[in-house]
Amino acid sequence: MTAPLLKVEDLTISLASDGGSLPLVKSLSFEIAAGETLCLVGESGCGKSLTALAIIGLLNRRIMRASGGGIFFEGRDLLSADAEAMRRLRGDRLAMVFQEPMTSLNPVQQVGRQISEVIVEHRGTSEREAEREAVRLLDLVRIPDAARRARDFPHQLSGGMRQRVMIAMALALRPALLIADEPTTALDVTIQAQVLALMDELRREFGTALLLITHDLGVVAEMADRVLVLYAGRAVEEAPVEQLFDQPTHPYTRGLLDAIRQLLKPDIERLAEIPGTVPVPAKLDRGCSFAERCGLAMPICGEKRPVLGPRGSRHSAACWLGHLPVEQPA
Amino acid sequence: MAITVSSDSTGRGLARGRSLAARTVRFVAHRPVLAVSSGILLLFVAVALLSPWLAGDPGTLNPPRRLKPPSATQWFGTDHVGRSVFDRTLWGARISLGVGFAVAITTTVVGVLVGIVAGYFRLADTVIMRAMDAVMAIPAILLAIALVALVGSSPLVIVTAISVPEIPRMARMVRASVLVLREQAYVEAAITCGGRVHSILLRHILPGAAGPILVQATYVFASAMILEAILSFLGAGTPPNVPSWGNMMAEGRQYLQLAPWILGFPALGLALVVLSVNLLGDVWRDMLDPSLAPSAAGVTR
Repeated sequence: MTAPLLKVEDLTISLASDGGSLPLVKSLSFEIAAGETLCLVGESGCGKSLTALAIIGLLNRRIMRASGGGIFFEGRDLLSADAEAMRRLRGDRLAMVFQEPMTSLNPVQQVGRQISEVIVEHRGTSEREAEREAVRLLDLVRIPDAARRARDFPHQLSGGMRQRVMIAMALALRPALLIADEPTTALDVTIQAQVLALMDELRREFGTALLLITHDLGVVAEMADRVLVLYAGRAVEEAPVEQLFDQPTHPYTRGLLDAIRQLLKPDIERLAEIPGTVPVPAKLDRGCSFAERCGLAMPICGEKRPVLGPRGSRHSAACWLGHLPVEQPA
Repeated sequence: MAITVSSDSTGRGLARGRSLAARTVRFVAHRPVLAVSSGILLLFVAVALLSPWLAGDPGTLNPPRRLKPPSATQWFGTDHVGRSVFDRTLWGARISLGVGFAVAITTTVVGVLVGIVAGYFRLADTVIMRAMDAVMAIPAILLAIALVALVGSSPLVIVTAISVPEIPRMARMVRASVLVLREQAYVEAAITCGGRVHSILLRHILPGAAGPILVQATYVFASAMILEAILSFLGAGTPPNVPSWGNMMAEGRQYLQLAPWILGFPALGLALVVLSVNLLGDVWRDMLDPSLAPSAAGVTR
């Protein structure tokens, strides 16, 4: 296998508080190959967005610390890169689409200019050339009458159109990696499907790798090549998408999938749920963080933390089930 | 059909002919405060600009005709050495409005620069804002008098002396706006796109603060004119040989019971300009603040 485009190694992100530091993402490792789509799945607060911000270098440095092995992008460690080097990468090789298309565009600037600005900043092309390219990009994201729409202000566009503008902006310079943090959460379901399809199509066309953050398993099934399930800041299962849906091995993943599958049954009396809530990050971290809510918990689960172990080719899970405790916990 | 079309077009032509006057009437009816205050201000600006042609030499003495009340020949009367109050009031407008504009521009430029740096670069914030607090702690008039006493009176010194105490207020307000704007999602998005610091500041943060800055500038304009008048009144401002509303009032004070017009006309001019500038600032603030426009807010949010 060739070197991955992005390699996150043993990444820990901590909240630096007065009393010390509180880890929110704990020794997370994953890889994305060029052109691949990896979905980062997990419930609110499990560290999905923090991971994305760490990659693009926009963690709030005053309160957040990223540490660990490193974030290697195209062979370069982003954790140790300086601010100017990161700025050059952002928008060029590394781009991001946010959840909120309503507020992510400057309300007092024409959308065409906002796209052309990215091109001018990174390529130093002339304004006029960049504006032509912006119109071409708007056309590419299927904004009708792009030349006229480029002169519109954000409030003149619908939510779906604004998110298309954001995608056009992110893909303007054909980045190698696009990070999309819940890009369709704020949109109608029908628009969601359109935007996702468009993103996938452009991604294929440009050969861009995608790190898609979502808590919508429907989106995962649609878009992902591989899936990484996070729980309370740790990776609990990683698998190619078909395998994850066919043979989930971690009880948490199973719980998530069961919650959706039951909707297909004709007569549901009560929605299945995973009992309990996510443990607070400050809690003493002994054993498996899911143990308290797990229906299959064994005595060992409360004592030793399971590490990611193989469950087949390219499939791994962090669970004592089907994984005899011969290895030492990390 | 043809008749309808032709009558339609002539009707439209008529409407267009009426529309300028009609639109003016509608504008005045719709925003009377804006119309009146900008009208007064424009009138004074015109007077100040045209005073060399509208008024005679403000320094011409005519002792035999001193302390004469307003009349057909001397519209505003004459002062204690027989100079025309009308001429002097018109010339005085140049000083007052000139100082007002100069201070508003200086304060805005410096205050915006200082405020943006303090608001965006957290390290600079503490140092800069403590220095600004220190300047604010000194009474504005005292600071201005001290500066004038130190380097002597000239238009440049007066503008500087009035600007210095105003700058911290502008800087504070800009800093507060920047602190809010820098957290906006679109600023974060611009950073995510790899925007350079100066383009983030100029293209994404500054336009968002333009409304409050403009409004603050009008208040600075008004208070600068008053401060100039106070300084001149106290004898620390415009030199006596140059007519300004402040030193006219200072001279007129001694003859207030005998010849109230000497003090009255410059005071009236100052009051009218300051009032109209302040009203203009209020109207702009209401127009530019989306939270004060419920109908617009209902549509956009």
